[in-house]
Amino acid sequence: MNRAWPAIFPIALLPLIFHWMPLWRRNGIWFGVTVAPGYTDGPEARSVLHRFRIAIWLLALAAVTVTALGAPADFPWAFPAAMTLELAGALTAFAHARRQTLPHAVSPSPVRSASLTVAPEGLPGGFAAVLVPFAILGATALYLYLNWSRIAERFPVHWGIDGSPDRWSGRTWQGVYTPLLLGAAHCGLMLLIGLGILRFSPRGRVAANAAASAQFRRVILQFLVAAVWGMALLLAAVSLAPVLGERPLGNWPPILIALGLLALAIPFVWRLIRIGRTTGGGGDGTPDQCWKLGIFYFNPADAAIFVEKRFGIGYTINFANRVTWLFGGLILLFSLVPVLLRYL
Amino acid sequence: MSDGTQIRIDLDASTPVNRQIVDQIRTLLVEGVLPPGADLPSVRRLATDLGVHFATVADAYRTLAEEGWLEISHGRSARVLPRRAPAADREADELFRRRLRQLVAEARSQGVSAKKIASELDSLAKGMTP
Repeated sequence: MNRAWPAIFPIALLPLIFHWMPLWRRNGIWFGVTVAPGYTDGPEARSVLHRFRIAIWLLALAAVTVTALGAPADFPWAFPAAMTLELAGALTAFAHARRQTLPHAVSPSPVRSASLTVAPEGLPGGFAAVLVPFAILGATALYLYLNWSRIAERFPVHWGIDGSPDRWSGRTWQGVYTPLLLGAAHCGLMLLIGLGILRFSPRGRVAANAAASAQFRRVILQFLVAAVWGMALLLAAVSLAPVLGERPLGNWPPILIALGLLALAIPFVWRLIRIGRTTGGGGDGTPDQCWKLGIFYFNPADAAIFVEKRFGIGYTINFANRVTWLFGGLILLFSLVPVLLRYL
Repeated sequence: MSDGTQIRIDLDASTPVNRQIVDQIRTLLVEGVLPPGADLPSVRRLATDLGVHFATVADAYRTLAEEGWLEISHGRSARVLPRRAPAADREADELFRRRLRQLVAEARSQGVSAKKIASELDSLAKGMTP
């Protein structure tokens, strides 16, 4: 089998997501621009959407061609090149669609509201939800320690998209425990982002959308906690592979991981899309002019660090806030964990 | 999230945002919606919810603290203090008369009847016990 064929799945999934993404939005926002009620059903808005989708599928066709027709030896660069082509192309198509929508922009409501109640807020599931992923990783580390002699002298630690091992390690403490340490670092980072959203995102600025905003925030945090659990389980399974044999599940792990990710993401994404559709007009409480290219939020007058995205689902950061850069530094620090481990 | 402790600001209004915050919180304090001992959101929380700078909310809280309504301490939520209404001096009376005159004139110019204004004023004044 050509190594490229399994790669078709993510390459085809990406345009499918981009095809629908413009519709996963708050009412009254079109390609990141605040528009009048009813504009999105008009012929101009539909024409912009149609052209955006044509661009997306042409890019997908080019990406699939590059990957499928490339020689097997070219695969290591062809796959990332195809993905980059799709992502960069989609962003360009979005920027173009936004430019076409801007002449139809209306001023978002200048009225903001806030509750003076001080309700205690925490991550969904409370302390246990935070503790369990680390307990899973800790228990795996203990199991590996107790079964040290059963670990193979050389074992795979990374698999390609076709399920073939492409990186190996030896029976050293770095080789055995690095996936667990990485897992702990990533879980910590994701929980940190969750706490950041909890403390530094608005609970609802526009009175008509306050309930939807609160619900959106809650579901995003549930998704994040579920993803942390998934991450802990995945890296615990990867760490146990040296004890269970070289390829205990054959070529299935990438497919199983992809299916697991989809099974985890689809219910949450579906709920978030439905919440977006329940929002009324009045915008999202952020000024249009602070959205650079429609994607990057830069508002020095806004104390929020996390705000709802205008394109896509979830939160983005306020690049004008100094704390955002501190957060960025922490993320960079976490991403350096594997590099640091290599030199220990 | 529509409760009695909701405040609303208008970024396009001629009244500065910090003043809008002070006026609305003061109203809730006078009406007793926010009783003594109640905690208000931190400066960061309220600024994040309203989408304004910390300094705007900090300034509003400071004004209310200077009026004796709030106790604010660094890193904590603001807390409502028990407050006895001071005896109104001549300056306060004069300021009240001037502002009320402007407001009544605005209401009359928009067609609100004198009787309606008087009854509204009466019910508001009796409903608020500072």
